[in-house]
Amino acid sequence: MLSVADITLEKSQRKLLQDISFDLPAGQLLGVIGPNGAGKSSLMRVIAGLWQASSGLVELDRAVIADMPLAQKGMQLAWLGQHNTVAFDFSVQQVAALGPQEAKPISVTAAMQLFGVEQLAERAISTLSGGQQQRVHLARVFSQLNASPEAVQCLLLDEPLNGLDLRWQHRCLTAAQQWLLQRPERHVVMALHDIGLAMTACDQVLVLNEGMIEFIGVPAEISEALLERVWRYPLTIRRENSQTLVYAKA
Amino acid sequence: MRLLPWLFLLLLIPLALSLGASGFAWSTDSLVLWEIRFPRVLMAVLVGAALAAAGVMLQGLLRNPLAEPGLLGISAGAAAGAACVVLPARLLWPDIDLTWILPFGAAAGALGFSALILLLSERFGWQENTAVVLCGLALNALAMAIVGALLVVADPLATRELLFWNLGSLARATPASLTVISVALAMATLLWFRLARQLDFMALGDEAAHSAGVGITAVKRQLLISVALVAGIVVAFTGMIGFVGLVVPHMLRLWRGPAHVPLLALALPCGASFLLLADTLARTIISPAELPIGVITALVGAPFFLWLLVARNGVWRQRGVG
Repeated sequence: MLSVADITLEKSQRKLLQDISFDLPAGQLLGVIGPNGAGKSSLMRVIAGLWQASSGLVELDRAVIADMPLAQKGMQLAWLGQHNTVAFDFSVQQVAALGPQEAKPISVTAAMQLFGVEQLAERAISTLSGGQQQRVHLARVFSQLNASPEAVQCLLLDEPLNGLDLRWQHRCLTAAQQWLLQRPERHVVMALHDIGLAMTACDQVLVLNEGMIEFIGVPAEISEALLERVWRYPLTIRRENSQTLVYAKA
Repeated sequence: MRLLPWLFLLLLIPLALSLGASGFAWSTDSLVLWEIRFPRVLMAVLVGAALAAAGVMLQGLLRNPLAEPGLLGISAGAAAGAACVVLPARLLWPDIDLTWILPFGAAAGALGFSALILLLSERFGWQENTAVVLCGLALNALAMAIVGALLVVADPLATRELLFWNLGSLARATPASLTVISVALAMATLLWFRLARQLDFMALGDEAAHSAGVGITAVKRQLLISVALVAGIVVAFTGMIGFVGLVVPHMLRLWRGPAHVPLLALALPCGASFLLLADTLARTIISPAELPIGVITALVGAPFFLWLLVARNGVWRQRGVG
């Protein structure tokens, strides 16, 4: 269980997050959505223990994440930030191998194949396109998941689909879902900006607005009225088979 | 492959020992060979290794391939710190042996200036490499003004001394100074090999490194202090020898890639060879007179630095960053 209790975050006298509380049962994928500047990345950083909340606690299976020793935190949580830049001309292979623990070469290779970057292994990452670079960083995070089946319990991805083609978006979501299914004690939290995709792929959706929770629950309960109020724009929800599409009303 | 640079250095040492003002000769005059040339060759080896390795670590710490103790004003800060110690010491006790005092002043100066550089580069963010180098330029000018003023107050005819601090010299090698430098370098190298792998993670940024379990605050603090101490101690005994920490790591990165552990392992012998070559040139090229060692390293390093700026600028433009 990932348990977030009364989180408030203030930075330079601005409230970025206010009274955030929710429980995510193990085995579930939570999608965090909200308009630009709603506090999605801040919430992801607080959960990952990168930022200290002004008040409140985040617990992973009753262990307070902020109090975990650094090494343990690095083992149990896998985090991918929104803006990934690499200094110096590290190769794709080298970056993919920079997981928290010394990931075994086999799992790095497997992760690189998963995101289709094994052909680029020797290229300097700085010479790749934005989408290709993002795939390398996804491979870096996923290689660590493969390397240690029992260690990582919580996968935190901040806008992981940025710049990805549909094929790789789908690959990333399925890989996260499959990882979740392999063992019962795992959690995935993803910040996303594609509302429809979040409603399609996630077990639960958290809608953030101006640093506060507007809604948390199963995607089926999200109404057009809610989306229009939060995004301040006329939106339509279309549910087809297992897919949900959200688009702007013409 | 890994032993190649060490082998080269081993071959270079007897060559450097046998080259002198009178040309190439395995001198039978043991006084010249062992009491004058040998300490100097040893000094070149130690200082070259120290400067190149310090460059690798500083570049990793600041995520800036242009970082170098000399360019960023850390060496100049060390010179200023040393000058601050020399002046009162000479006035109060004219006959004092400065070997044991100088490094403290230099290390304190280097530490102060490197803390400033770290603060400035965190403020600019790591993409702003050139801005950090500009800060270094200002710090350099400031420190050298302090050195100049203090030296002239201490001794109106101190131009020679000023030249020593400005362009460096390996001629002041003594058993005592060699001991201090080798102990400092040995301790720093042990620490640096422990931290080098962490620098690979830090190339991803502070947050990604932290989430990978790297204690970035501790790593930064240890690196900052150790680099400043080594740079400070080197400057205390040899003055400011620029560009070694820039040229050597960069050539090695082109050759073997940016991973910090192999880079550090190569920087030690390659830095040593580079400075030994430079010093042998400095001793022999206009003999019996002698060029300051800093002249040679700057003649190689400054054009290299310019090329680096131009090449990097091209890359940034392609990426649409700057």
